[in-house]
Amino acid sequence: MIDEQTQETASLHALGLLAPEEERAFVTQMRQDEALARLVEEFQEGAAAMALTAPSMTPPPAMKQRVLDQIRAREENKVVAFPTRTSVWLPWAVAASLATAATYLFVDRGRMQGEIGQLQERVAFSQIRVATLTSLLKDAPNTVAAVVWDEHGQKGLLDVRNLPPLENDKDYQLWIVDPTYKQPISAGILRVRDGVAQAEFRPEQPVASADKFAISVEQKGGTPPNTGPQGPVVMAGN
Amino acid sequence: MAPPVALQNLSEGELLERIKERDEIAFSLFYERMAPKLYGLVFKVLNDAKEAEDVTQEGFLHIWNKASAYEAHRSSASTWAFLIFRNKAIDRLRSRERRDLGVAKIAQAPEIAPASEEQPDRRLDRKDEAARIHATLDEMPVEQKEALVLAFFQGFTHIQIAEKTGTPIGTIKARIRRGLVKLSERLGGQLA
Repeated sequence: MIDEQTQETASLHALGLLAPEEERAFVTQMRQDEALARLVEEFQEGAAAMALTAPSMTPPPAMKQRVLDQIRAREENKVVAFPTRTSVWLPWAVAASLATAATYLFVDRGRMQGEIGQLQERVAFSQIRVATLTSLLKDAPNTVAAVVWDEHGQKGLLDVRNLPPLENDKDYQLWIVDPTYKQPISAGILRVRDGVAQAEFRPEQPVASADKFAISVEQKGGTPPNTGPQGPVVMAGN
Repeated sequence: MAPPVALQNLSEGELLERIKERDEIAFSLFYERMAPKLYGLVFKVLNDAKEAEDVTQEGFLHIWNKASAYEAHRSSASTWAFLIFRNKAIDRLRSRERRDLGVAKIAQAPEIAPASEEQPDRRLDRKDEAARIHATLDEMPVEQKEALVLAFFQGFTHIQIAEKTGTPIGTIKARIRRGLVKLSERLGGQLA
């Protein structure tokens, strides 16, 4: 018999409403309890059924072709010899993603996302991720960033454009959200010049899964170790 | 070129099994069958045609890349897909703090088109399922339905719903649980 409180937690899990710590604890509990796992599956079926109440809409006709083009590009690249030494391809990857961003940023954001997604698909098998961060600042919506993350090498490259200036006692700080840690992992302080920050970074702790990247505003010099962001998060993405 | 007739008769779950084997025709059929519902779902969450297009595209790439993660004994194919697309849409919504803009953008929404690509019998099946879900939601107390809709389509947490409605968090948790129990019972595992 599953008690009511656990059922409530299961229902929140099914809807993705639990805080990260609660989510981790619940998933651990669920893995050890088959009846609870079944209840979650039933709740998920119920939650997903709500999608049927949304009216069907025909997507733009070109979308299907774009999706097919991307999956074909991915499959074709699987058999193409691809440089594997980090020093060779990492600059290529970031250069390509940022060139794409620069080209399309203010022209067609959707296409930029598609191009970067395609690049990401091409290099995914080499444990490389290309992430785009979007601005959460209402007064600086054009601030953009791209991150290339090398999981194997545990390092990455960051490029940010149009960052608003900060007060003298503040710094921008880069974070990696890894669900295996309670707090986001610091990847360092950004050195910004004329709104631009470009740097290679290495996180302070080993990263098992870089689910998201974020930039926050912190006191000068950044936060103390293992404390996570203390100030407002101004950019985020994956 | 039209897909082979045999493939057209496969369920979404069977198509996913073929997608695991990198069957592009199966993927194409899965897209044709599911895209109107999934795009409609994403649009309902985001209220922005361009963003809905981006997220829907991302969702289908996820389906192709992660089809191996689908476990038929754990959920139906439509549940798996709906939750992937819904979660991606909610992630986008949260990351861009679009909630306040959503209502205003409804007025600019493109005209809703019918799911013309679906085979008529499948469309009827889904229509029946949708009618059952609508009926179940309508039978719920208004507050229970409100909690579910805010959580599912707008990504509000139980804490945010409590704040928004001036209701204790425990009450909101109970409403969500009871609502999902009713939906699950009404479905009886028949959502395919």
